[in-house]
Amino acid sequence: MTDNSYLIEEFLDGSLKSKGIQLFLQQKEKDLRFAEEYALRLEINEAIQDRELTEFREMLDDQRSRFAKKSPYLTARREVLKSWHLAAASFSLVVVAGGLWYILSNQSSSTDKIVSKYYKPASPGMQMRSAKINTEESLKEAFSLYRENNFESALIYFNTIGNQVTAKFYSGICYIELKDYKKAIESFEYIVEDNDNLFVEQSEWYLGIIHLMNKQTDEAIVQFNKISNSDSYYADQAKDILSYLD
Amino acid sequence: MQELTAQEILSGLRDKNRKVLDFIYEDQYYRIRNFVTRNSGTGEDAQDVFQDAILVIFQKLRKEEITLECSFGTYLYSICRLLWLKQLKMKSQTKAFIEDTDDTVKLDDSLDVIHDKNERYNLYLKHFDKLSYNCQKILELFLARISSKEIARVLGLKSEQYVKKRKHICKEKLVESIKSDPEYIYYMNNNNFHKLKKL
Repeated sequence: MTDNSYLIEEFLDGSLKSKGIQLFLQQKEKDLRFAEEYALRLEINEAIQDRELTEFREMLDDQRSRFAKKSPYLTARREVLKSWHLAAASFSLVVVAGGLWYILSNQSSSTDKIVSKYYKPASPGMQMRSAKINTEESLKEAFSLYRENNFESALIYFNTIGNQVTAKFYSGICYIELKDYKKAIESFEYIVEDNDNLFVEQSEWYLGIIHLMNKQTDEAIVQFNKISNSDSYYADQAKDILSYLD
Repeated sequence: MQELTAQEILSGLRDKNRKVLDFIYEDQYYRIRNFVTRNSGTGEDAQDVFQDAILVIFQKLRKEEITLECSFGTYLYSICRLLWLKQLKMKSQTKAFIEDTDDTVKLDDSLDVIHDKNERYNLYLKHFDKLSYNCQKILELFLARISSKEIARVLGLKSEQYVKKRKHICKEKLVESIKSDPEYIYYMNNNNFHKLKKL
């Protein structure tokens, strides 16, 4: 231990007498390295003493390991979904976890049964992430109606907004709900072609799902192949689906 | 799961409420994962960033009230974004294009400072954990202002003088261990790790 570090530690321990304290303060004032050394040692002490922070870190570590045991897709909430990112994740979860079991165990069942059994619309909470401010009120109204499962009226509002991607995306979901798959495909294809927005991956995914709903297995395979060969979030789920469709 | 307001979430975080922590994870983690993995990161990176951001908020809450003018999700996302950008810079991926996957909010500079401090604490505690049990206990008890005599009694050491000597040895071992860590050296060299505090 150097004289400096000894002096610093004695100061931190409260062991210095008045003369020693004076010497310490003078040294800290004139010597930058000494001052830095003091700051480091003081902060180390603070870190060791901060039991609350340590406890909180342990809680976070524990949480991390608890959730790591689940599938990453299980971490998406299923009861109160707040975004269509989550909605899509949740939807993919039920399709993969439940729907594929259904396919396997009941080959004669049509895919629309699977989807109708597991598909449920979620309440959007992050609808504004790609929206411009001036469309906010219209979207609010649209989502208000959407939350009431009034998809027809919601569509009217979404459609008045025009080709804004957020509105387009949710209009696609409305069309799914209304079983107007042709228009749903148009909406999602618009988003995919635009390719400069945040809904592309989800739209690709829903296009695949719509093909399943339409019993267009060949088209569904093409679509899920496209997803599985990309770096999409849904690539793994798409592969799972393909393994059952092939 | 019950929906929580931003204020309820912040209050729960401050109280280290496990249910609130789980709510945040289930409600928000996917968004963060989506952002990080779209911006040159892995799922593991996303976990780290998410955890660091929660720690930053927790530390800020310990100091002062947080009043949000946006959703908690936007606030958390913005912090994660800030932390991930720092990581990318550290990895010299400064040219990496950041693709935002959510709305952001302007953050005050204190969050960056808190994060830097958390990182330093992390490093210190990593090395503290490597010390022997006795070393750890001696340092902890010293810092709790327990007398050398009592420490000697509790840990079964032969004398007060020996306790003091051991304390100095343990502390020096810890400081040297920290200083020799490449992470510490890296940050020191880049002058953005251990900033001298005005004391």
